[in-house]
Amino acid sequence: MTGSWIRGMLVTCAATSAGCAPLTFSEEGAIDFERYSRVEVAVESNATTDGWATRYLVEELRASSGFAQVDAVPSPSADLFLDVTVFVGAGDDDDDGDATYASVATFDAWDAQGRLVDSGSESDESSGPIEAAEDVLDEVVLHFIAPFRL
Amino acid sequence: MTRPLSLSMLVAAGIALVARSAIGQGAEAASETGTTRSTARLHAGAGVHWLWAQGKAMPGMTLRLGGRWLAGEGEAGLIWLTERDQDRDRRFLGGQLGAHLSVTPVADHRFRLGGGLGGDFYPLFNIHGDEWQFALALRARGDVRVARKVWLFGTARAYPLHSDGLELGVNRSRGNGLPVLFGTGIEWSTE
Repeated sequence: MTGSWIRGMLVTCAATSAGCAPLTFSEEGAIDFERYSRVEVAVESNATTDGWATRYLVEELRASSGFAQVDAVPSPSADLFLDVTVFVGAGDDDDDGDATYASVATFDAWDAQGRLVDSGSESDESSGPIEAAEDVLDEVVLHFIAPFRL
Repeated sequence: MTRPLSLSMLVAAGIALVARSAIGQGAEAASETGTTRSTARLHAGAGVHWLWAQGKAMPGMTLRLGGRWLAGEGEAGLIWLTERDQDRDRRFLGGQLGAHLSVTPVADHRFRLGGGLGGDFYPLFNIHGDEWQFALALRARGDVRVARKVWLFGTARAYPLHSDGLELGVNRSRGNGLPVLFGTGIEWSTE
């Protein structure tokens, strides 16, 4: 009797392996990255004033976004201009007494003719002000992630 | 980051519900036999499985905790492409996490058949650290005992609700296929 169960299960395994379902992960892309392939980035942040936020966003966009070229201001060849403002709030104590820093990033993307192509805002929170700024900039990068269909 | 937290809370609530159910069943059994000893018949199982998705390798581990009727199940796996990504030299995509509550209306010492509801969470951390997809999963599972504590099992799941970037039954070129994801595995169980 056990043998017949095993045979049945093997048949089930074979049937399921033959019946692989298509499972697709996709991201369409926030903008047309073929039309806007070169971006100039400028970030204003109250977390730091030494240009760190701009450098961070440039590096992260280069790594993960759909832009072919990402530069900080000035970038004469840019066909899109991304202005980001990051605000990190004062740390609030959570229930455990640990400080939590909320952060908000608002962004506008303009084309060379000054037309608004895309805009939005992202929010996040973390245990430190710099980390909170990083996390919310990561969300901006995620907004501009390179399209995929896998 | 609040949505993964919600999933964790859902899983915790499910495990609590399963444990409460199993303890209730044990107490009921004890009451029927006139004993006062609490005999919670909580069974646990751990296994490995494979989800059969086109163009992807999806191995994973499974955990099951529950009683005769109700069980909570967890899955954790990884996802690789078996077909080349046209745009990038990338094979590894990320992970798959599942948490399901299931009822088992058909069961004897050799066979179990049940189904339930849960969530499948796909953190695609090798695409981007914050990239993820989520689906509400309807799931059926059948088990066959092949040794004293070893069961073979098969699962079938459908996604009635899912995030925009997760398509079950649709391939890369937008062709349609069967919108059911099958899985097979082997489990070591205390039952």
